[in-house]
Amino acid sequence: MNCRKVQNLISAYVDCELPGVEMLAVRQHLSDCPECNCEFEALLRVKRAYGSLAPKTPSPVLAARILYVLDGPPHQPQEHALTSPRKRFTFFPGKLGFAAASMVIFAALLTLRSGQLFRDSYAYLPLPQPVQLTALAEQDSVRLFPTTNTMEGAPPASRLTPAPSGEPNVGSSESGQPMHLTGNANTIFASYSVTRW
Amino acid sequence: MAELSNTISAACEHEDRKLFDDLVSRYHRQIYNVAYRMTGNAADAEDLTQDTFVKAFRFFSYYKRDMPFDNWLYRIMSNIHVDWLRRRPKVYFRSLDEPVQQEEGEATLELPDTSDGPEALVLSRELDAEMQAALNTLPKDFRMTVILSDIEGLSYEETAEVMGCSIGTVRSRLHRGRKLLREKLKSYLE
Repeated sequence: MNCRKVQNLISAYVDCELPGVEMLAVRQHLSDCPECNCEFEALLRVKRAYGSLAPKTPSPVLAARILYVLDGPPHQPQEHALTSPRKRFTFFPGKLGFAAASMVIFAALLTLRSGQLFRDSYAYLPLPQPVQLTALAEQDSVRLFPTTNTMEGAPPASRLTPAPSGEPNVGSSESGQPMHLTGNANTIFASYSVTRW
Repeated sequence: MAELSNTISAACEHEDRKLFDDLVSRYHRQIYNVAYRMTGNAADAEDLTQDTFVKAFRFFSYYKRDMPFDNWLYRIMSNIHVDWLRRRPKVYFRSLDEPVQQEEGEATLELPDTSDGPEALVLSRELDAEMQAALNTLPKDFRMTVILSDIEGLSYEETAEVMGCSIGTVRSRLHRGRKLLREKLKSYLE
């Protein structure tokens, strides 16, 4: 065992805190090395000097002062180890959690309300209905002009014949009879544009 | 049923308070001694002792019986002292070799031979003061290790448990602390 290693072990050797094998090895080295032995004796003196210091005595009232502090002021609730509840982990602490929960609830209510209003507004919109076009007189006739997107099979606008009762389709304006055009509005307006003069 | 539960809790609380009061009476001198060696003066030592017991009482339900009660108090005290050092400004320590200003001029501080005799008590007090001053110059971890090991006589294992470090760290701190003290007190111990 060399001096460098022994120097690091001297304090533990002084305190007898080394394993038996190391204790013997350090002892052997100290008996052969005056420098390390001198270091050992110096550290031993330090340990003994501090070990022999007289204990410091507190003032006679220290214990009473401590007990007085433990009792606490009369007007304040006493805090004891048994009665003090352990702090539990809370996901949202105190006021912040309450505010966050309130905002979430308020947002949810707003969403529900706006959704309800949306549905309510749609409830009052009329559903697509079949459109009836009626020409009552020549001066009040409704001219039907064919559009460029005339549906295949649809009659030309200039020729409108009275629709048989119960049947949809077109009626003629030349006869002056009222013309009833029934059918899906989408189908009619896809083929004709209507102008009232 | 609630009243019975409250009565039992109050009884346990009362018993525990009596137990803790008994522990204060039994350990406050020992804790004060270590606190004095840590702080270097009586006033701070008393404050540190008081804070230690107050905190110990607050966390009494967390005390595990497998550790000696005084060791547990040492651990609390060590943590409190660390907090103190963080909050308080650093204290100036006078060197042992610094000349002392006297009417006749400057003179170095000299201690007479510490032989047995009527003056032994006074000399031991002066030596105590110088040794305490040397102890105050150590870093807080080295100081606490020397106090627990050399003054209080704790083993390496107990010291490691109190300070929350390994036995190797205790060994290293103790060795380095003693070497520093040896240099500070060279003229008095050799």
